[in-house]
Amino acid sequence: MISRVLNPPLPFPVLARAETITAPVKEETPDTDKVAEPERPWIIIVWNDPINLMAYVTYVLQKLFGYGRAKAHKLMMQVHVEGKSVVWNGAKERCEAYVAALHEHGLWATMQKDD
Amino acid sequence: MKRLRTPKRIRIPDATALGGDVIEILLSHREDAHGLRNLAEHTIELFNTPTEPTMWRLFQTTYDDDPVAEARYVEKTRGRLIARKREDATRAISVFNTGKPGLASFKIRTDRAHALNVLGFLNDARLIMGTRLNIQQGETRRAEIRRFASPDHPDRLPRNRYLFLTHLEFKLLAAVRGAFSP
Repeated sequence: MISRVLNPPLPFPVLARAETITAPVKEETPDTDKVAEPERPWIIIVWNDPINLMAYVTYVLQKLFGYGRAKAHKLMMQVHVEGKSVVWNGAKERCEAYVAALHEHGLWATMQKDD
Repeated sequence: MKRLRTPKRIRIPDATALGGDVIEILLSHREDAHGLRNLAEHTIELFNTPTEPTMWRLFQTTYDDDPVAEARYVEKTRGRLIARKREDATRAISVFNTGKPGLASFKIRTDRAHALNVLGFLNDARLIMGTRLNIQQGETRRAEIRRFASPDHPDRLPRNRYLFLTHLEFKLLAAVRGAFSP
């Protein structure tokens, strides 16, 4: 099982939650026959490649995920030595946004459901 | 990824963070700036050439085992990805056009935002060039560099250009990180 990393802040601003007044609604009886399965989170994998500079990969991980230099360096070394590293996990949409940003920076990144 | 080693027999560029928001790129000759500008123009042309065999490296697969999800993802993100890379190369051209001759050097001064565009362009150009040259892990070690520099090596000139870009990117990254806080 691939170890997970803590969720860092998003690299883009998130709208503050507005204060709302909840209107009364009719309470529905839950369907007890259906048991909701917890959705598996998605993971982002960065893969090793022979062209990107090690310092550049560390820099991009810091810039996009807000990691400190030590953590970004550790993840980069895992990529370099083991061939890949899980650099983030979470909701699918956020993973897609992060992978797009990684691709914009030239890193080799994929995403998949966590096993 | 690659560890950096100092290459020999190539003109080594430099970059420094000056006071405030200013980044200075030092090249040996004006011709180096012309070469970088030409490379940026060539890179922009490649963005309009989807059949270019090395472009796969810039446009990576996101969903390895789900072609439907991959097609939807590409449709959603490809336009922005190309626009971002084109913008980096275009702004890099404007930066390379602003250089001035110095003492035994050619100086280019720019702000941090434009330096980041240059950094993005340099990385894209290295990915394309490195893919063409089939650069492998550890290929910049000293023995390999000596081999690249050998007059007998058929790829000596493009490999020297690749090493030049690698050093410029390394130096520029260090200069940019000087003002990078996390």
